[in-house]
Amino acid sequence: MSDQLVERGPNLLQIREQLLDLFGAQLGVYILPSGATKPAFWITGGGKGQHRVPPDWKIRGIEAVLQRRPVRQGLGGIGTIIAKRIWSLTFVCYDSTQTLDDIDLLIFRAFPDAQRRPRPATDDTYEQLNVELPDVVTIQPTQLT
Amino acid sequence: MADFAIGGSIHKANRSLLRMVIPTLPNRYFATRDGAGMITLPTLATGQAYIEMQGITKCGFKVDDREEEFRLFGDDGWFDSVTTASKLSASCESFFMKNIEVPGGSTVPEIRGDYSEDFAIVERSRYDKDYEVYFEILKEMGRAQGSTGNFIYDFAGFNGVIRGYNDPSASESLTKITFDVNSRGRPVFGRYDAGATPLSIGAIQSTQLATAASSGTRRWATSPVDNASAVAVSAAITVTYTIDGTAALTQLALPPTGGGGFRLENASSGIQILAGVALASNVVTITPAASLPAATILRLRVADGAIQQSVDASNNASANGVRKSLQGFSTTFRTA
Repeated sequence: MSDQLVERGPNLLQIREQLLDLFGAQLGVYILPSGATKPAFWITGGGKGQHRVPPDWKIRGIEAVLQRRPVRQGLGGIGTIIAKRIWSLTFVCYDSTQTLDDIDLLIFRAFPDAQRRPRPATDDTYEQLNVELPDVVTIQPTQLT
Repeated sequence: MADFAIGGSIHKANRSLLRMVIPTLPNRYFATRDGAGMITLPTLATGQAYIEMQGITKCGFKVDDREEEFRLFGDDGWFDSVTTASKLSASCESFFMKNIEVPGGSTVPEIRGDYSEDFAIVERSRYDKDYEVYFEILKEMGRAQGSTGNFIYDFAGFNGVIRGYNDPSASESLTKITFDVNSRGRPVFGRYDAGATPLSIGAIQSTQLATAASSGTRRWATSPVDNASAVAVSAAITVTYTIDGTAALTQLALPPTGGGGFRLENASSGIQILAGVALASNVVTITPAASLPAATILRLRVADGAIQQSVDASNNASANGVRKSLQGFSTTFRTA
């Protein structure tokens, strides 16, 4: 990635690390066909078919899904572009013996300005929590050519 | 590609370049303006470079002309006037900006515990009331012949002092600060021809040079070595900078503020042990004022910027370059 396309803030991998540090212990696991397990944290949109976990994976417990591309809103800026990035994160609790209460509180403590929208479980859906994490960065404007 | 974007006839603020230089008092910088209104930039002193102001959300300036009115007899009663004094006043709004550096060999910026290069200048005005800064504001206007020709900028340049720093810090919002700039001396306005290459605007200002103990081209070695034990209480403490573990790193200097970035302290209490700091070639020697305490774990903290290197635009050592900070580190050892 060229310097001009670098945003002055954490990249996707750093965001993932930060979030896993925050609530990784609360997450469930993906169970791969081989029987191996991975933390149930999925980043969508990496390419064709990457919008969800492979169909032959199983999920146990709580899953977190992060949208790969944040929504960017310009906040103005002189000599640079100041942008608010909003990362969209969704938790789904597939285990009826668990709740998203702890994760909700962990998110609130770490990101008090995040928008949190809990959705209780219904007869047809699992409990969900949608979170929008704000993150302000500066970006280099397009250069004249 | 030419700048034919919709609305391109109106200048957009993000396509401005605000930059500063810290002159060595009592010198000031002045651009010159020719009869056609074209600007020649001042020649910066060796070791000085422009620092971009980034994170600025407002920067308005106005020219305050003081006029004295008078009337001449026989002029049918019409007023006339003369400008008796003039100054430029700027009012800026910015965010409290943290330092971001791109480590050597990486394209991923990292935030380090320091002010950004530009904000460090602004914050210094909080206590240093006679701290003059040379400001330039350049607005992109495009190429001289549309899609070809040199890149032309509107130019305003002036020396000034930062006044009225204000940090309201409202809870649950971004930390914004405001400050004013009052000019000293004559501001210069006009058009600046940057030549065939446009000025870079908004790039990451990575002014810190990465260091490591045993890799890269800026290495440090300490004596005593890290985790050494049974170190004599009279032992000399040194930090040696090299390019490969052997050959000396050149063009090093302590910053203008001195050797305070090299801090020797008790590792458990953090209490500082008074010591002198001296640089000779590529070796920094830390000389405690008294014998070191016995059977104690000590830590040498070398802060970011505790030592600087003069480098050219490619970050190669250069006597005529600009000073950049070397990345810091810390090491511990135990006395006998």
